[in-house]
Amino acid sequence: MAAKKWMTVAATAALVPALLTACGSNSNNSNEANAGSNTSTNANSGANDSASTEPVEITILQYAPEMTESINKLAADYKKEHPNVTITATIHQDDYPTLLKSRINSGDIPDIFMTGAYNENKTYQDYVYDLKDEPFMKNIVPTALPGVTLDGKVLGFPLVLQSHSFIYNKKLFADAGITELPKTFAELEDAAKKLQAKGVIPFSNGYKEWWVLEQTFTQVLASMGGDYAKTFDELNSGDKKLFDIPEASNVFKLIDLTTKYGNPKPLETDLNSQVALFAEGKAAMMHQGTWVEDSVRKLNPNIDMGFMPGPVGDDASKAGLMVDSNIVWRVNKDSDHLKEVLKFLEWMTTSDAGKSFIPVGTKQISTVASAPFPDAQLSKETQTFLEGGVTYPWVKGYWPDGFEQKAGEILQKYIAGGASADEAEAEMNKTYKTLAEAAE
Amino acid sequence: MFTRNRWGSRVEFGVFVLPAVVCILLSAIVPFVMSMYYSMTKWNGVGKHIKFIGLKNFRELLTSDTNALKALIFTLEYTLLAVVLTNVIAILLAVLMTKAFKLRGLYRVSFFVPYIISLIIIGFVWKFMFTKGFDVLYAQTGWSIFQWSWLGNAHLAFWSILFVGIWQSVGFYMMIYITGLQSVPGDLLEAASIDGCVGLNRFFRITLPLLMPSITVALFLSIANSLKVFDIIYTLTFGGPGGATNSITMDIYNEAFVNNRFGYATAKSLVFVVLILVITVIQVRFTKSKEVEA
Repeated sequence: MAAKKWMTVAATAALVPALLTACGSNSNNSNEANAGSNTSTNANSGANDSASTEPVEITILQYAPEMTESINKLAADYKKEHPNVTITATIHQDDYPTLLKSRINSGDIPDIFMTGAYNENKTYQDYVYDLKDEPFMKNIVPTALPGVTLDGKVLGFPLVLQSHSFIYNKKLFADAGITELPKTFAELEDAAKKLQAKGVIPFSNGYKEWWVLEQTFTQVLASMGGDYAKTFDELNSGDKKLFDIPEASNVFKLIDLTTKYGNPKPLETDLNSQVALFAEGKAAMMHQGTWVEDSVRKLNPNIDMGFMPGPVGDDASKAGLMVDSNIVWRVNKDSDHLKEVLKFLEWMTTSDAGKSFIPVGTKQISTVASAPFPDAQLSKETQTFLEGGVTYPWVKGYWPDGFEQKAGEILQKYIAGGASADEAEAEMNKTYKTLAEAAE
Repeated sequence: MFTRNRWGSRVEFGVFVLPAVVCILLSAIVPFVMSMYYSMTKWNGVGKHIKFIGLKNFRELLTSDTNALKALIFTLEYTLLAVVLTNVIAILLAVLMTKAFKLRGLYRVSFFVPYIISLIIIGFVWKFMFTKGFDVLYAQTGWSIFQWSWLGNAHLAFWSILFVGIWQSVGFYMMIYITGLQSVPGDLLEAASIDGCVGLNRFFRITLPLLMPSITVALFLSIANSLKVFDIIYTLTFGGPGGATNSITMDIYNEAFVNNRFGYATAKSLVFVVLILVITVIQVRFTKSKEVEA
């Protein structure tokens, strides 16, 4: 009798660990796209890389689902030359920062992980390997480097150069008789009137997305020029307020203009609807970036479009294009295969397959100087701007964490009529101050 | 002999509850205690530097955070309307669905189905309805109600969210009330009828008091769920336009994962826990006192 009871106790005790494992191990197995792991047949493909033959797995955690296919190809290409290395990429779009933070906090840090540039340098600095002394970083174009540099350290591998401004439909502009691209607010309104007379909606506004407004705002803000780092240092230390920058207030004039001549219900229009209006030829302009090329082409393969130097006020010479690199691969400094990871990054900047990952695979502009150029109209226009036009960095990189979204939300409120321009300015000043203090 | 037996049963009891206790400890109690510590720190959520700052976070929250106050007001307004409307509609539906008529089962199921669909999917479906669907309806009917910016106007967005929230959850509460109504003894209702108490009078004097246990449960669940509203807002408006539909949960999420202020967000969520606790305890006490035995 007693023996039987003890059996029960022992059996129950044995069950406890099983239950515990069930409790704790249901995390990161969702949405995994296992790149490369399908090519694990180690058939000798003739490559005689005899240096290191230990099987190594490099793990990449990232967002940007448009890279899924090309990253699979990248992993396969790398495996051809280095049969012992398997690259496993997990692409996770929804709620990415939450996932990354919990992976880092639980000590399960991937060898390479993707984040934004600029202020995220600070956020992740404790975990990131400094690439300053790596020779392959010389292959990266200088435009892409400020975004990954913090206190003289290079804390990431910038992947993509992106640009944003007003995108316009060249045919609709020609039909409306607009021969010269508008470069001031007055010229922009003039062009809008001409387009409207032709029965075309001048602006497709996707103001449901806070980041569209943030990008409209930063373009106006960037036109202040000068030493951005110094200006934003003054702002972050509280010596100066955001709207002490005279150019900043122009954003309200620009928003008034775009909503006056824009699509109905702008605050309900998300990215897809905004792009659809433009791609279908119903609207002639939209504030967007190089990343929409693919979605526009899917709806209208033959559209003839281009970047307009974005008007930022009454000074035509200040209209320009916002170009920067804001997608970064960061190397885990405690990675078990640090050497292999660095070798892989070097291969990314020197081999043909590595260099064509971004331009051919994702049709965007690579940060590697000698990489081929993508066959995409918006990227080509960006190149023209880089060669002889006005370009600005994405100044939001100097903002404290969270202000990007808050700025967009406050501008949404302005559009919804919930705040006047003065109230919106005051609220942005206050929010900037709070977040800057929190980031100290 | 007696004591040995009691000890034996205690050990047995302990062994059986141990797995559950360990699981709850690890997944709820320990994180809760840890979050008490984090709420008194300044931490960005990943960095290795966690700075202890005492009660500063709470002071900021209670004195100068106007966004949190706005989110609180929004959440309370939403909760009040959602709880009242959901429960009234659910009781009405339950009364209807316990009457005998054709295809009753089908109707019950169709009211219940939204509840078993993921809230995220419901959010996206309704986002489509409010934007694209209403455009088509407007083109067909010409009614200006379909032309309004249901998600883009700060006032309308509130009602849109409320509507979807009620539409999604009402089937579940209807089921609770149906089971409640079915347990109301028929002889009592019959006796009341014989005494001349019929129709609405009978409903309010006999049925409703006997339904009180179901109301306690349904109120408790709907209050807690409305206070925690998140998924619908996340997909329908993401707190917009311009923060007009920012609930407390959205505010906490943004603070932690957008503003990277993990310590401060933890402090906010602790205060929120206390708030939910107080509200639900008061509610349960109040409705419990109204319950009667049949």
